[in-house]
Amino acid sequence: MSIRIGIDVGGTSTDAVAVDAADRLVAHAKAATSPEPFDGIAQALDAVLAQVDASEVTHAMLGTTHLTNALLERRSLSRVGVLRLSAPAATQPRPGTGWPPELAAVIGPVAVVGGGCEYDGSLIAELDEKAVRTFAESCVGKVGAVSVTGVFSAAHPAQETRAAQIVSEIVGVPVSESHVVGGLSLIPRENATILNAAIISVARNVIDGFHQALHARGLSVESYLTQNDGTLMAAEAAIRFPLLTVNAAMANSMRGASRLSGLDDALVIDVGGTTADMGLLVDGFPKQRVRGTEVAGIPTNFPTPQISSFAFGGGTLVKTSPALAVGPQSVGYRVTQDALIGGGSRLTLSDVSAAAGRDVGFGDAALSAQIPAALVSEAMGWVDQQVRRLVERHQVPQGGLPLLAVGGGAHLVGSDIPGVSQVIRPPHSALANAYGAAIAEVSGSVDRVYNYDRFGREHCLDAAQEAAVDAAIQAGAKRGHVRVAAIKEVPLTYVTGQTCRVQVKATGPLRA
Amino acid sequence: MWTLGVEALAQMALGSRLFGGGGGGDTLGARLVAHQALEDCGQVRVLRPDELDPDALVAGVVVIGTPTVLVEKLPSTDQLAAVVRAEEARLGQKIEALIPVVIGGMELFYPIAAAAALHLPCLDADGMGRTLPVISMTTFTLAGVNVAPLCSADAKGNVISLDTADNRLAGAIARLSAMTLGMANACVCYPMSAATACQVSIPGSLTRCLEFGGLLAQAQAQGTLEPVLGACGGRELGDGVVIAVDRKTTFGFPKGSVTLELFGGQGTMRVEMQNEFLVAIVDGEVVATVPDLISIFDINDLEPLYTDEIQEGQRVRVAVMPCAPQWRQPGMADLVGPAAFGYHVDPVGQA
Repeated sequence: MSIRIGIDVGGTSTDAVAVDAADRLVAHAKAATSPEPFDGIAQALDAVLAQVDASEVTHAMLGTTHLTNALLERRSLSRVGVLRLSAPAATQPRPGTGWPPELAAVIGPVAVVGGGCEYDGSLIAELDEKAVRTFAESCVGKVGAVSVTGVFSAAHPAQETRAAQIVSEIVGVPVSESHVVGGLSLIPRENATILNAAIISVARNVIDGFHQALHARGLSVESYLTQNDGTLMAAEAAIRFPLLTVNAAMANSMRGASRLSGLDDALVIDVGGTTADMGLLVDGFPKQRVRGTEVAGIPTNFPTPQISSFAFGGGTLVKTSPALAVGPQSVGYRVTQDALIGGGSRLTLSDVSAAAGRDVGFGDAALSAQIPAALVSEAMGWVDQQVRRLVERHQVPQGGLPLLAVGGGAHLVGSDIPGVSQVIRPPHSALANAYGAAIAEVSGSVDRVYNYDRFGREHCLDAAQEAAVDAAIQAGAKRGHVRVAAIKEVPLTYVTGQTCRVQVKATGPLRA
Repeated sequence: MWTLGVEALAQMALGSRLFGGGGGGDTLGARLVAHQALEDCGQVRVLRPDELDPDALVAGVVVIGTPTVLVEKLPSTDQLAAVVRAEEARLGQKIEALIPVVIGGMELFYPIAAAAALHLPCLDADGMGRTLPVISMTTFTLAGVNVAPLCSADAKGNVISLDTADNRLAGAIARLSAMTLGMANACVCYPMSAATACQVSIPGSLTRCLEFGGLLAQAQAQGTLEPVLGACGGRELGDGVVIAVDRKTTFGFPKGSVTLELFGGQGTMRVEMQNEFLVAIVDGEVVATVPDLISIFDINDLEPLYTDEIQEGQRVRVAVMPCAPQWRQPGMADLVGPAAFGYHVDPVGQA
């Protein structure tokens, strides 16, 4: 018997679940996310462990919004030394060009040194190790982390790894290598790598706190963080690549909703206390953004799900005078006490939903009887319209898709929505995110430029898939159970002959 | 004359993305190269060609390569300065102003960056009024201006110089040589007098990028393309959902098509694409052709989409904007009409 625990730390509540080897939900608990986040984790963990045999727990998975908040609030960020391997090519723009000044302040010493690759993997220049050392010495005592970004490093990561080794020996701080963090396109990848380095110390605190919580309960288990694509990353790796976990919450919800409903292709809406997020599941995984994404005003290109959000949830306030106005203010997690049906005095969407006859999961629906019917129909009409807009933002194929409604505010989602074949409310839907963390798989990916003329297309695609599968096994997947989840080929313009950028992702269940 | 500083670049990037017509590559890196050059070297004077001495030598600045490589191995102002010097040495004359050849996508920002770094003015003009895939596809070629001598340089100090008599041949050789030189080369070409530039170039190009960047931002805020299309006499071709994307992994140029099912039972639209969107066909009837600018927008945020971003299931709006009037001359169809891209259809809308 093997039990895995999934924990989701959201803005308002911390959920924990336990699942067995067949992914059945065997225990769950909820705690308020406290200002000191590990109290919430400890509380939820204790409540779940009281329901299972702790000696059977083999894995613990954490999904958390800590790191996202650190970036958005620019809190506890480390100063970062920035090294680029590209000279004599790509010497401009300087790292950090165009950054908002308050974030540009995280950039410490900068150097652009000899190195980097051509598109075909040949070298622009040998790595200038002497210049790397000079840069490293300029960083000593001045930075908390270093980022290293080489031109076309995805095709040829050896130089980044060597430079990182030199820097790490001299400076003694964590070093982020770009080929692990971002995709092709130098500047957004370098930006992502700098931000990744800047949040490493926050990530270490989070993961140390998680480990202490586990150890204090006698749990000596494999620990993981969930990442933006809905797959797992070993906690040790997450300390090095925390940026890859910052958008994991919605990915967890989507993976959980998929498994709880048994559907691999669907829209998912997660309605919380204050916001509603929607994403598209393709083959059981969150559809990833095609364009890059901005983090705190900085263009980056690390993998992240395509999510659209709107400011409404169970705690959203409804004003009636001078005219009906819904949100965006919300009472958030206090909804269970502040809402009319919770015995409070604030009119929230949960009250309106209860008055419309929906099961909101808390409070006394009779307390909503005083709300005029016209107001109920107008406010629920407004919510329906927001949900319709969110659906329109996603590329729904002909014939529509099912919509999986999860989260504490899922009762707000009506049952008749254009473009949606049916609305499904999976069992335990309020726990979709913690469940999604508990059942997550591990993955490996490849993003490389291949020359089909030299080796043939089939051979190149095979090689790319094999590399992705190996990467998944390296990350902890069960050999023989890894499958290729996505392949994308993009031909390079103007190159005579067939040169293609190939992106492959492979995923598989954890080794026991 | 007007002065171009860092603060204008983001808005110009939105305009240049629009004039990319689905191609031209991501503007971010190139915009930041220009950003740094303007920060380090000061603002750039933007001149009409007639504000220069008619005998002054001007030359075009482009980068040659493939967008995928150009966003990774960004050409620098050192590389641009090296080719400007090489061209001057080849001609035995000082270049007094730079002129953009292409204004769509990333290309817009390299003449600006070079002008800043070399303290030269940049002309408010160009040779395409949009992005087209080959350096010979310009109003300069249409008017008989030779693209040569053309100097092209990689970042390692390798410079090649072409003395071709035929602009199409130069385009083909420049592309082949770019492959050997690492697919991210700075290039100076089309040397001409300011007087010639007055006659053969499309005027007001930088101004238009800035203006249409603003109009597109306005369109995005209002959720309608009216501000953009109203300002240029463009029109919407239809809204629909992408039901098929065909990309052939062919030799040289990527080639393919996008098929939309138009909303409201309005039929099916096919948009043929190579690096850019080139021909739009509704139920068998050709409704727009290159060099008019065919754009596909994400219907939600009205962001212009690149050809390689289009996906099945996407909801899009297709629109066409008329090409620059300077294209409307004999010889245009052979040089940049649909036949030049291998589509045997009659040109539409450029009569």
